[in-house]
Amino acid sequence: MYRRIVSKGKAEYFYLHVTLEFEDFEDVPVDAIKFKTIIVDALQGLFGLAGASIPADILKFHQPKRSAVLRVPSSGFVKLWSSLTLLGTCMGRRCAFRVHQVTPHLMALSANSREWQL
Amino acid sequence: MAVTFTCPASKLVFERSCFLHKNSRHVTNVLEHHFNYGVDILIPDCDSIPLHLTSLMVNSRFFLTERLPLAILIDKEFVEAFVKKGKLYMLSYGTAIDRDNCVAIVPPGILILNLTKDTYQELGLVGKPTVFQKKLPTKYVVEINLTEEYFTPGKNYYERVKWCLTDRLGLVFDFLVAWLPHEDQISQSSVPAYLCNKGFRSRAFKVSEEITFKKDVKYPVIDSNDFDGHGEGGNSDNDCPITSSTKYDEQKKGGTKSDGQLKSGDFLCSYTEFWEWLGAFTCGLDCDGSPDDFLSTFSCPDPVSISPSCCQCKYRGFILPGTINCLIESLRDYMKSSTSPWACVTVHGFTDSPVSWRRNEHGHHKGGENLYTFVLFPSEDYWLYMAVGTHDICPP
Amino acid sequence: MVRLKNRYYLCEIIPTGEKKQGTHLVGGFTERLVFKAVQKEVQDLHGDYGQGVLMGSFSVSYLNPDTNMVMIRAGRDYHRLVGSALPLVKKIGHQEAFLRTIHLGGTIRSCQKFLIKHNKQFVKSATEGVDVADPEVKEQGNG
Repeated sequence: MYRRIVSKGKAEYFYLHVTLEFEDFEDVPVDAIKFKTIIVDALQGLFGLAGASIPADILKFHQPKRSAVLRVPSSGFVKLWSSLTLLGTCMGRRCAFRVHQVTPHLMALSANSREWQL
Repeated sequence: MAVTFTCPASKLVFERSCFLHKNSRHVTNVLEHHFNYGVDILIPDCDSIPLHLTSLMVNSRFFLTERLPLAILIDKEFVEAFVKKGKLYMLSYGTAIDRDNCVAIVPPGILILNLTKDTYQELGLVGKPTVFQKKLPTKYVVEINLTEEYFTPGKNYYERVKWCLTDRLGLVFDFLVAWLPHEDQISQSSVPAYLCNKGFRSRAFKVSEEITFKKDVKYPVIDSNDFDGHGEGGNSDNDCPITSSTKYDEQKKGGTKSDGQLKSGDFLCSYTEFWEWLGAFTCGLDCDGSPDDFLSTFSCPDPVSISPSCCQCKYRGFILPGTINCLIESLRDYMKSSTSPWACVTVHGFTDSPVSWRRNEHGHHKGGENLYTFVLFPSEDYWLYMAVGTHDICPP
Repeated sequence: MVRLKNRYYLCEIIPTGEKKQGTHLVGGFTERLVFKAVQKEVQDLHGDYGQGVLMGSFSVSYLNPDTNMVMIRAGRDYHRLVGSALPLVKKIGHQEAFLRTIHLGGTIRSCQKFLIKHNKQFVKSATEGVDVADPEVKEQGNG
């Protein structure tokens, strides 16, 4: 009746909550497909073709804020995060990815107590 | 190696048990998770959520006291009035556990200081280095039991602590305060009233609420007995440690008859797939990706069932464990009379709380998640997921 | 002090495409050209990261223009990045060619030993059934 299963160590997937921010051009139109292309380009720039083959899924994309929830297998997690961090320009404009939350449990992205304002 | 990088470790504990079982630890699991930031409730096949469920959450209040010196907290008057009686929960607000000092009070009256190395060395109170950094720790934990008999003015230890917190370093924090009085007549706001007399301003807050109903939701089919999705029904129990009485097994079988439309041999959704789907649904993701989609290959795990109306509630605030326990109790009552196949309650802990469960140290490394989810079934069975990040001790 | 460890790839350049008339081997390969070609493939396959981590150790340490043998050095921690890029080399300079990895060694000395052994075997198989007194055949075997 009672059963307890403990899974430790490497999780299968990692989830990232990220936002794309531009320096001056606040109203740059970016749709989900463009967003994915930017991410793949960032991966290819830093890790080449081997990096571009990492399957980074866009689970949710919020177009006005340019924020997204990404899913990536844990083997490619460090590569994805580092390429997002080192991305400096896209479409000829200076930009940056802001990583809000990173977690192996998708449920944890539902609440972020660090961004809680009273 | 060169081509692969190690990713941070994490822990997920899954438990299946029953509320009626005498050894079930659901109450202690809830009550020992002290600092709760958010509660997400999800009930499929539900047109209207019972009022007594929501009122429970909305009526709970908490306070934010600004710029409170720590010396106030060890004041004899304060300890006698609030720490020793009732249950006092306090957590420093706006401090990040991986870079700042964090302070918390958990019942029964333990003051926990999670300090940076600099502060720890200046402060001069004995503590332990953090368990997460074996070499060169940058954080130290000091625990002071405020209810101890020797912790009283005039004694050496008390005077030492008082001197450290007033003369050596005047540590000041913003605090979230919630107090569960020991008697019903006493108001919760006695703590802020007391602090106001001392000259510290407090503001009262209510737990925020957001209820949404979603139409035609695809949700995975799960069976309380068949958590690893082999489609064998209760047979998968054979190789697990059985701790319940046989009488209890009979009850269970009677309860799950309602899922009769599923033939044995069907593969059901396993507990890990369900956990991912639940997270996706709670975050508001669409789960319609196909395996060769350019954007996303995530889809709702098979087999699916369609719910005409799905109720989702989000609560955010400083929520007491007692409130959550009451919520789960009333949801159990609700499940007895409802047609929903299951209901979920997810409780998110504060990212920057110094403790997760009990007095287990909690830290922030990449992510500081500490959360648990109850999946309630009409048969009074439940699934419990407890998830923590890298800098965390395995949940009880 | 800790020794900086390296790995050495011993490869044979196999030219493809049209052969120039009159020469038994299509030559003109220099260490610089081979380096450029492999570096480009590392850049494509492993990006700026691969380029960066190999910067200190990556070099072509030996090239024999007669036998078209080439030895490529890479840091031990990252030698797999070079190893995975080697099969993708399609062009060296303007000459179409590919690289056949025949040995991976830890020191130059071990690669040299292997190369001598390899060349001896090559000579042996090439001269089988041929009169050993033939001077032209003898000269070719000098590794």
